[in-house]
Amino acid sequence: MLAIGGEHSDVLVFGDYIQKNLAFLQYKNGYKLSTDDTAQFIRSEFAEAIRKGPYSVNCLLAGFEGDEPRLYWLDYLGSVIETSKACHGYAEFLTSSILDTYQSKDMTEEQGLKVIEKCLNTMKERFVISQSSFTIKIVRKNGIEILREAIKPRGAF
Amino acid sequence: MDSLIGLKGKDFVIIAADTTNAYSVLRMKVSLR
Repeated sequence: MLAIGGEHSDVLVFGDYIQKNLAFLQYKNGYKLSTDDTAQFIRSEFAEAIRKGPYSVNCLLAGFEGDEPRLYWLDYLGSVIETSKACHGYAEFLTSSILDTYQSKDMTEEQGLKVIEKCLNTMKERFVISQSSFTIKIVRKNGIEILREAIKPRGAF
Repeated sequence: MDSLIGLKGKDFVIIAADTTNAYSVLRMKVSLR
């Protein structure tokens, strides 16, 4: 699962581009790229684009490599790192410390969700522009589940 | 507003992504769906 943030047009274009190319590579090679391979593929696309017409988007890639969960942090410059916690955008300033304090290697889903909830509350509390709609998704070995759809605030269009 | 938060646990990964689209100080759209 790939989460993308940034300039809206680039988000749409880059997301589609990656999705279509992964499908094409599967068709061409006869097998799916693994999560690790996908991260490197996306990185190479960023690295190539940075000297042409950069996409101003940042990504988090979540998936599985065998039984091992994987979380990749990628930015528009073509940096990639495999981590256990990651943020992008304004969340980076406010929630990195929370993740650093509370994230641990053998967390259960409940504990994880509590930490995420803590991060979202902090964003609500400390960030000037309230970010009222977050969507939360969880990646397990047997699939992806949407835990919370974006909630529209009342009166929103 | 491009905020993404990701966290890895024992056998899962959670990602929270903000779904608003903002232009300068204006919120243009709340949900991208």
